Amino acid sequence: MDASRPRVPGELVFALAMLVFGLTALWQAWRISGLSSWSAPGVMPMVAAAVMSASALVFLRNTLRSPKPEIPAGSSLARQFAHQVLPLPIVMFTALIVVYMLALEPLGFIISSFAFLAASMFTLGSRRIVFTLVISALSLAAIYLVFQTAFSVVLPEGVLRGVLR
Amino acid sequence: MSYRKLLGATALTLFAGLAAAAYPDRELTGVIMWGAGGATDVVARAVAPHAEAALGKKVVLVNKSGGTGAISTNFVNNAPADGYTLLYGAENPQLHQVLGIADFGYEKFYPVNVLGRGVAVIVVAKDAPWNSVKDFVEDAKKRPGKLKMGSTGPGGLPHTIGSMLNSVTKFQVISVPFDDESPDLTALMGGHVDMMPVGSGAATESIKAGRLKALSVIDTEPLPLQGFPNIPPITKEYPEFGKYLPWGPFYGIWVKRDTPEDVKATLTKAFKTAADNAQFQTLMKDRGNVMMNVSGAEADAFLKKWQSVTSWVLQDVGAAKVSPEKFGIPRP
Amino acid sequence: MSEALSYFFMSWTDPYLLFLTAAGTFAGIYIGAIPGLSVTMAVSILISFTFKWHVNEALALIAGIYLGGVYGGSRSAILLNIPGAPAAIATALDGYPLAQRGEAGVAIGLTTVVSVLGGFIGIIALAVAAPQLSKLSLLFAPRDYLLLAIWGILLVGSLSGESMAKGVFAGAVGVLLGMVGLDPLTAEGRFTFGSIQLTGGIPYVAAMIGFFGVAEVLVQLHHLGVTPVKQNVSKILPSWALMRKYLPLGLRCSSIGVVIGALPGAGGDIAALMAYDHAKRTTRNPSRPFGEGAYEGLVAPESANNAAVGGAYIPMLTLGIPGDAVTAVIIGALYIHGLKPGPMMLIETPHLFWFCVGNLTLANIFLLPMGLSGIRIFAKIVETPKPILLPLILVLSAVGTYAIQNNPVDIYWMLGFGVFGYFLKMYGFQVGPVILGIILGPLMDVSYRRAMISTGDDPLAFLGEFFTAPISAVLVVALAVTILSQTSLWRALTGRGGGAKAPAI
Repeated sequence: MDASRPRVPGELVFALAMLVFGLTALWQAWRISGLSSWSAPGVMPMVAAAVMSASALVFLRNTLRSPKPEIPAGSSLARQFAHQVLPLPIVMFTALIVVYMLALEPLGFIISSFAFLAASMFTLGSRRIVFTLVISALSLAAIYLVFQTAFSVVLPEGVLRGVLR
Repeated sequence: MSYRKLLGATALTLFAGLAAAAYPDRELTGVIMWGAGGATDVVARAVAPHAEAALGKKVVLVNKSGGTGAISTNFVNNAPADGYTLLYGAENPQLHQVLGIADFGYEKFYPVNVLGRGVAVIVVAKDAPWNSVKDFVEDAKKRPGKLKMGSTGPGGLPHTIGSMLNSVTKFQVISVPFDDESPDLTALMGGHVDMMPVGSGAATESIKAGRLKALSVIDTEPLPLQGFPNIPPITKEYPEFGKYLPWGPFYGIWVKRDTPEDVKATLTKAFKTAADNAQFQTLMKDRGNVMMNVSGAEADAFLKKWQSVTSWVLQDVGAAKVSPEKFGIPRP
Repeated sequence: MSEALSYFFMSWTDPYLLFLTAAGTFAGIYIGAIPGLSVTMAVSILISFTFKWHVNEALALIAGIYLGGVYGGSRSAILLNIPGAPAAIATALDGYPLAQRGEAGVAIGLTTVVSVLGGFIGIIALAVAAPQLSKLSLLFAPRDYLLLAIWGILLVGSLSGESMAKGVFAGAVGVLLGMVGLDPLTAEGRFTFGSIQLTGGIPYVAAMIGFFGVAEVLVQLHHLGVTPVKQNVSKILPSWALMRKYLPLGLRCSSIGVVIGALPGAGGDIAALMAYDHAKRTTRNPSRPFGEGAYEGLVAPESANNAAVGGAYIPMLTLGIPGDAVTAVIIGALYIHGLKPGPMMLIETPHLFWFCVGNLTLANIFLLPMGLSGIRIFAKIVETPKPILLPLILVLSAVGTYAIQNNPVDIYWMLGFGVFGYFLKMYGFQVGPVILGIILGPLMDVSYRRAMISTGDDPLAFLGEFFTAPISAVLVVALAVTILSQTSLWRALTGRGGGAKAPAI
């Protein structure tokens, strides 16, 4: 069934990566307990990893059989990959998330979340700056109230340590 | 830039203010090493309100389960030693070393209060043919590897008691591990296992209702059961068992060992008051626990003995991954 | 009997208890709808501040939160494709496609009505058959749990999307992820690579939020410029004819929910998935193909997971054994209130049983108006412009993930799973099987090994027991029938030429 549609750019590499993933998992599962007994802790992980590897193999075979990605004249596979699979907004948004997560503990929840919300809303194309800032602040206040106050989830305080309590 | 400076300055003043104020001047965090609804969780949540009243500050409780408590011990160990992060725990960390889960146990922490310990009973299904532990053990000797004992994995209460019994009198059963005491009891009632040692709190109600039969209590004294015959102590049938007793799970509150002395004193006093509370004591009794309410050196001595007895039992039956010797745990 | 009735109606006639039940139900819906806030968490926090209350007051509040919370998980599953709770995973499969078509109003309306239906079936089962059902649940041996888990995992077949191999692969990835951490039976590390963090395993709510929520946010970035679909909220209540059509399915799925809920060791999440599978197998002509917004795909899991609430109360009230995580916390609460949960509770304090039944009934009645109100406002969420909505979903996902165990590392997991899930979606995989594997993998693993250990590691004895024990034999036959029916159905489907779907771009 896979064979009926052309490959999405990068699909072949992904299939290969998944096969490697499956085989690595199989090797790691073997290392847990080998075949020491029928009820050893490694049995189910080995079964799962074997199923993974086998299905990845089928998936790889189907991918190889399917037609090559359609590449318009003047474009390249890499360009098509960037266009179809990883367009700029996704790369930028993911980068922002990574920065947000790294900043979460040192800066604290409130500052880092506010910065993330404002920056990503702007990046994604919201041009009403005041509206964006107000929405960010309001929703953060709501999240903070619900999680920190009502549910005693201790959100990272960061540089505001001691100020809010 | 100037904004950051201002912020820094404000923070500094605040910190200076914090240091000068008497402990505790803000909320405390209590880390519970087992999940919501577990025995440790219930004990922690039951003692907390009374401790809050004595401390005059809120204790925010969070469950951080995982790694049989190692996630929590690590977390508290990495927090500042200022007495604002408490560890609500059970016996498990005392076995982390020999089970190869972590390289430290409670010796890195100061026992604010060991609240109480549980007493275990050995139970079988109501219509089982055995009427004493000896009956069961003799049957198991006749049919090695046929009878099934419910357990909760290595280092758990059933496994440890099974190992102790095995070192007193050799017999062979299949140990079927479950996640927790309740699925274990369910399996016993359903006839999927034949016998199991279990915390008395989890079993007494089922014993009273006639769904389970108690063979023995793992203690030196008989266990009184309101309106029912006492459960005989294990030492009646196997006096040699006495060398391991008293033994059972325990619950308590710890802080990092290098917490300032005055902070430790404040905490110890507050939790002493909390543990003295009548409502809390009733709860502990209902759950089949024996109140201890000890702290400091007395608690440390208890913890050391517990660790040495249990670690070596596990080592002797081959369940330990690392020898207790390596950590300087003396043989009892 | 009259005494039982008076306890049944106690919370209906006492204004304060009435208020607490209502407040609990209302709060529960929102707790359930916010990913990361769970009923378990809410109830354990309640313990600390209700311990001075009368036990009935605490129970009234808790029953409301429990029923509301199980229902509330469907809200975010339908609107955002982020199941607010694991029990709502199956709901997202058809609920979200409905919202994308502008039918969020109908989806929520139908969900509410069948949830209330399921809730009632669960409560009726609790009231009339609690002792029998609890006896039945005791008879389930480890091998029977294994059969249940295998039955559940077959669902991978119906969640696979464009190819079976991809579905099986995703399911196996899930099973593998579920194995990470200390083995619960031997405390041996599996895939922990020497890290203490990993000994606790991968929190499956983090995986759920990552694979569903974050991955979906990333996919949505492809459609930034597209104006959101206008939601039609003029008609919310499903028509009488529609309800009559789905009543048989709802009743069957509710029974699945009750039985699975009553089993200690399986709860609403598994019940909902199995009910979804049941619906998919037995419905000949769904309103739309499953996975594209079939009403049957909402009816099945939502009636089952609410029926599982009554089911979970059964072993708790009759044996003192929790039917799921929430009832485990309730048992703790009962202890703190000086009660002794166990088989004696029914004998010593029979009024407590009838109070619980009456109170659950009341909460279930409140669920109807509360679930049906405010849909207009909720529909606005979906209509919010994407540049505003997507970052907000992300922050909420991050906080929700963090809140599970106050651990920032879980947020990294969430992002990692989100990115992985995004690539899976891009290359035509479905993420449903991954979550299915994470939930059922551990159950399969420990049940298989327990059953094998029980026979002394003798594979022949292990296999023999499946045919000699009555419950196991019944389950084996049922399982065989299911598999056989699936293959013929599968053939029929492929024979009709199951055209490959375009990848989910």
